[in-house]
Amino acid sequence: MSALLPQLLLTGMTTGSLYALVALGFVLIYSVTGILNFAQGEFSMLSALVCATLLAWHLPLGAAALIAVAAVCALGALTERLAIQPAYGAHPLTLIIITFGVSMAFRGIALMLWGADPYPLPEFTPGPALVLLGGVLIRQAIWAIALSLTVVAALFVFFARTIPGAAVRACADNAFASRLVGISPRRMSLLAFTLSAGLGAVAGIVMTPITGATYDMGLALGLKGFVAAVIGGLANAPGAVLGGYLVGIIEALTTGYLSPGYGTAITFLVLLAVLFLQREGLVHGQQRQA
Amino acid sequence: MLPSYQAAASREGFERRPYNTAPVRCCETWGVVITQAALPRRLTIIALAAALAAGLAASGRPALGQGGPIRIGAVFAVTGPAGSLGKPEKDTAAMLQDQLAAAGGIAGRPVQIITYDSEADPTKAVLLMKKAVTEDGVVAVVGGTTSPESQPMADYAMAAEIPFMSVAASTTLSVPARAWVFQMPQRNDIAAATAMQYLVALRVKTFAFLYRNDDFGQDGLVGFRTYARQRGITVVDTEPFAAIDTDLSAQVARARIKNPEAMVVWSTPPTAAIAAKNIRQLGVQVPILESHGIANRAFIQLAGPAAEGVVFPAGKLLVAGKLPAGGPQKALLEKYARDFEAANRYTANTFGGHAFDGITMLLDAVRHVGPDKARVREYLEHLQGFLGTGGVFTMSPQNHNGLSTKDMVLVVIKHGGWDIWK
Repeated sequence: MSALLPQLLLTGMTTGSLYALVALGFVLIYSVTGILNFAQGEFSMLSALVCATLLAWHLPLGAAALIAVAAVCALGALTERLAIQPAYGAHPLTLIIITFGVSMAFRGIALMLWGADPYPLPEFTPGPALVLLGGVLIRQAIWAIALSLTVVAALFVFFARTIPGAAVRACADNAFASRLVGISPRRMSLLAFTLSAGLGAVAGIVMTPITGATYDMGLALGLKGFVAAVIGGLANAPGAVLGGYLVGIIEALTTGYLSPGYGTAITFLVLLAVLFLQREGLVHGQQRQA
Repeated sequence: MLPSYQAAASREGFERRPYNTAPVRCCETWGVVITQAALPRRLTIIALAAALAAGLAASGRPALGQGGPIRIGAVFAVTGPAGSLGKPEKDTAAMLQDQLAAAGGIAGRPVQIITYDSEADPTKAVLLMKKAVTEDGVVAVVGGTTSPESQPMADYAMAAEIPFMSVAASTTLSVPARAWVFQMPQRNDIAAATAMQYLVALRVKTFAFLYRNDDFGQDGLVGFRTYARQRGITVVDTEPFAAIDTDLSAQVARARIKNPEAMVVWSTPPTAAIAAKNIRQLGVQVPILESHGIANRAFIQLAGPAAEGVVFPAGKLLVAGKLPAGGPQKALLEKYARDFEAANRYTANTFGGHAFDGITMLLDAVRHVGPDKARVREYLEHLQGFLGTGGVFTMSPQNHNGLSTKDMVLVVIKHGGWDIWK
């Protein structure tokens, strides 16, 4: 069994890094607006499919990926303007249900445009996999892990060192007080949706060379990202990343040592345990003001 | 007013007309006296009016006697997760409908193939089949794209005593044979038996079996366990996974420990492709054998270089051009592919072929014995040597599939294309 462990850990870290990126998207929107955006996984799906299509039109991978991320960012902003903003001030539950509707609409549109067939993307840097402590780590997994860590670092700098970042934080802390000092919560909400659509988009493009892209990939991805975000404390970015890796590794270990069927079940059991024992998640962050 | 509408309808020979117009008229005349507050009541009245109109429409429909159109129901999962199977099935039905119209129907009577979209939802599939039988008066039903849809449809076919041509591959659909249920694709157990021939030819003694944990994968597992025992080959490891899994390297790592001489993967893309990729990424170099579920372009695109050398069992359509000239199916397969590709902008595949077989078999029956359900069933049950895209069908009361391992070939993926494995 010891021969298995390194491989399972590496597998867990690969999927975990993708969950982490999606979880960050949840955290970003939740901490600013109090909304759980269940269309988060759909952003990943759309960017992956757009990128695959652009690539089929003979664009270079880098350009295709950039355009796809930009397009999905715009879509995130549009979602906020057209679906969330008109219901501004409604009960958070209403807004969450709206995001469910948005996710279903996106999935339906994707099915019409791309059909049910999976689409491929090439690996960013093709080449043989690395052997690490007896386990195998494919190159695309290194991209996924590196990107998720880079994005966390960039977000940290954004929130801690820049004025717009401070404005977002102020809005998350106290929307009323930030309005008094001239910060528009509505604009911050727009910013949060745009940014987290971008995060989801990056996750979608990084994972597609490993998994392929299908119109229904967003649902499972969004759900796992949500669990990771809750485990991490929902309003805490480093916590979300930690949660993502934890979910990925738990899944891999369960699959490896117990049975593949239990992976998701154990993940949700861990979620319940975390919620029972530590209501704010494993990592304590600032509490969101209701 | 109504009688005049009916007269107009029958004049035009178009019985559905009151369906649309009657409720609207009710609204206009009654809306004056009904206030906003009585909205629910108004809706009830509209519903009643609609029901009345529908009833009138039904009674006004000419009985399906001599001269009326012969109707065949086609229930496919055109949209939804099985869309890549259901779409070519529907397009095949449309193509056959056009050919029938051009040929002037059967014995002077027009033939209508009515297509319904089940969205891969078993409940919806049965409801649509009921609608086809009870409202649209079809003679027989083709369809049930996925096995979970086909199973309840087969039950309904037995209850309603209507011939049902299933296009799904689950072994239990025709083993044991049921009076009204016929199966078009090569059954999963036949595919497994064909695939097993590859392991036998390679002279391997052990293999690991990675399968999608559902009807399809378990069918394969049962088949492989049985045939392996008969051939003295050992299944050293079985690894289930879920259809939504995005990484199978944990399963591959577990199987690798047992040092199997071959890896068998029983699933459809994307997981079928992820498995092949993970096997090669983890440095496992043994032969990979996959299922007939990878018989489409998606697998080759998704698995990339890992697809090279993968062998799988398939109907002969995939390699029609490479079949020896003069073989029984070659001309039919090439004509089907040509016709399909002329009418649609994508390559013909085996799934559309199953719909083709189901519909053409029914048409053959109707041509010989007329549109009588019991006689059609009787005719199908004794069909001998019927040429289809799936193979040469030879039915009997005990065998409602009528195909064998002779109707499948082992296909190898070479240079991103398909070739017959020798």
